[in-house]
Amino acid sequence: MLVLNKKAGCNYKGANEVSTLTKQTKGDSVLPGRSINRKNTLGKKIWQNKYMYLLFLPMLIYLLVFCYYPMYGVILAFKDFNYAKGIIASPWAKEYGMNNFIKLFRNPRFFAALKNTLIISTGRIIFEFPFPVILALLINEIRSSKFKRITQTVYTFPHFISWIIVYGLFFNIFSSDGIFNQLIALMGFERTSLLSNPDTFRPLLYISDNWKEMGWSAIIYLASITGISPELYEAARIDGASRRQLVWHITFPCIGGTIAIMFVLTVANLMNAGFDQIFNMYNAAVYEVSDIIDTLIYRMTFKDPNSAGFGYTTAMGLFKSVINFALLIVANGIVKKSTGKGIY
Amino acid sequence: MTGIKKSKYNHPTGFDVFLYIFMALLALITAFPFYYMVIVSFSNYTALHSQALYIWPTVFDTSSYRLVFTNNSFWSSVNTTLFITIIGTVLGVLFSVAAAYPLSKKEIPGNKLMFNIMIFTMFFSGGMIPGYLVVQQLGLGDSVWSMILPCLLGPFNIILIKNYMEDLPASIEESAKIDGANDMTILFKIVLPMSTPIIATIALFFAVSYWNSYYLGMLHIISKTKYPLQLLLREILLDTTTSMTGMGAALAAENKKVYSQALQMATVTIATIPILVVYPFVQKYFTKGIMLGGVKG
Repeated sequence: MLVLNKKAGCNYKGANEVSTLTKQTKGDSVLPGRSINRKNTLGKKIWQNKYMYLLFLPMLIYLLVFCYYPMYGVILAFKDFNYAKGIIASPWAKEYGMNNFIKLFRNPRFFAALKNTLIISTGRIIFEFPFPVILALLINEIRSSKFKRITQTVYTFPHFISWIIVYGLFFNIFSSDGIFNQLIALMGFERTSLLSNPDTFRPLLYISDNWKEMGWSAIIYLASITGISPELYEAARIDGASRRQLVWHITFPCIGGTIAIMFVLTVANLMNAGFDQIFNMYNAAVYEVSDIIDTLIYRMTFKDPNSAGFGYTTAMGLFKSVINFALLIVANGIVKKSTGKGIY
Repeated sequence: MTGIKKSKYNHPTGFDVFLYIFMALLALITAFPFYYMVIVSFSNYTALHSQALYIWPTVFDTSSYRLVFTNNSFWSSVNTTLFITIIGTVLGVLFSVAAAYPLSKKEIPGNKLMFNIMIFTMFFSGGMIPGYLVVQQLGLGDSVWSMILPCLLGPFNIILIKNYMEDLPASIEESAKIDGANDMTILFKIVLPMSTPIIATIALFFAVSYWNSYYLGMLHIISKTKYPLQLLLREILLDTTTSMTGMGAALAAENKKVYSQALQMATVTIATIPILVVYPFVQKYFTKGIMLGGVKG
């Protein structure tokens, strides 16, 4: 026992001898500290990895302060927030703490925002989700690697600019002096402002999001295509498969797992609908079609002079988070059952 | 044997012609708003209104740029943004690497637990208000750190680095271990140099997200001198005549010599250029980094 401990400890010369020996005899890992000594106790293993735990520490502190403490902060949803008293000491809300939720479900503005959120999210699934897949399949069909690289560089770039800038660019094009209105004036139509028209605002949301994120989202599918074994294509070619058949019967099914995972992540975000984009692009003229839960929370908390209170808006946020989390579990369960792949 | 078969796949077909035209058009559509941004930023009211369709620049008017560059709120916002971008990127990369390295070692007790603690935050969050209150309670209100600390770590970035590190050859680390190096030395002397592509990628992600950040600044920053560039830009875009930024006042004083749309686009152009300059150099790294790190997760 004593000898064993000595070997497993930090005596590197000894460890060296032992590890080369085990490598030759058993073909085992040669790490002296971690995996040689099967008789290590847990405590010893932890001590040997002390530096590793030290490396974990910054992340752990960060998660506790900026993620888990705010999660605990959702108890505000059941309280009447008092700024001077803080989250913990604030008194519980009326109706057994449920008062914020009762007020919430009686508020027509909340239901309008909920409806917009669901409509816009569904719109994104229909008008945005398929395009990166198609784009990836098309990019994959390009033969000139130079052309492929250049176009892909262009498609990906808008992902890296902020929604504020995207709003600026779209405003520039669609404003009354912008090129879009110059064009339709030339064609003899009346100038119109698409960004403040409730009929055109949602389509503009889908168009601008596609413009910004399509190329970026295609990367994950392209990565998945790169992972497909070339032998599959070779075999199909020898059998005389056409190019369309190669795409339809090899490429597409092989990235099915990735598509499923991306779909789960999209569904788990159903209640989000894209705060950054909408917040920067919308205006009072289109609130009725674009005000989502997150933008309503923001305005009610920080812009409303007769603020409903932090407890009330926290309740709204909690309602959203809980539904998203439930959707994640359901969607992941369904996908896992049908394709065998899931995100956890 | 395959000579005949292959020729079928190598000859440009009608589909190829269509594909090349389509992809080139798509690239043009993607690039057009940037082109239009630049030509409008160098235009003025008369130029933009004298033509039925302003698609080809007819003037080269730099007055909007001069107005931006002589504006104090612009320079203070650039200062703030540079500070949060540089400090945030350095700290973010360090913290992410520190977390990713032990996560890539499956044999450490508690590894799985740590991973789950991290991944859970991707799918459930306290929401806007508790997040706001935490920063306020830490006394970070109106401090530049309120824009750096709350987004210092992202599970997605950590997973990318972790996946990349898992694919590094274990033999080099093992021999270093035998030579007496501890985990810290191995991380900084061996693993980090081998992880350049993924670190460049993550650094780009951090730099871009800090450069683009406005939300935390909007919630926590009260002093106008600490406004980040994007927040200033937002104010300029939403309301040029506001006296808030000082830019609108300058505009009024100049008696509308500078056209507001040109001024807006000049600011947008200035905010875009740093990304445009850095992006092509880092692009080769990030495609590689995402491909290698992303496929598994």
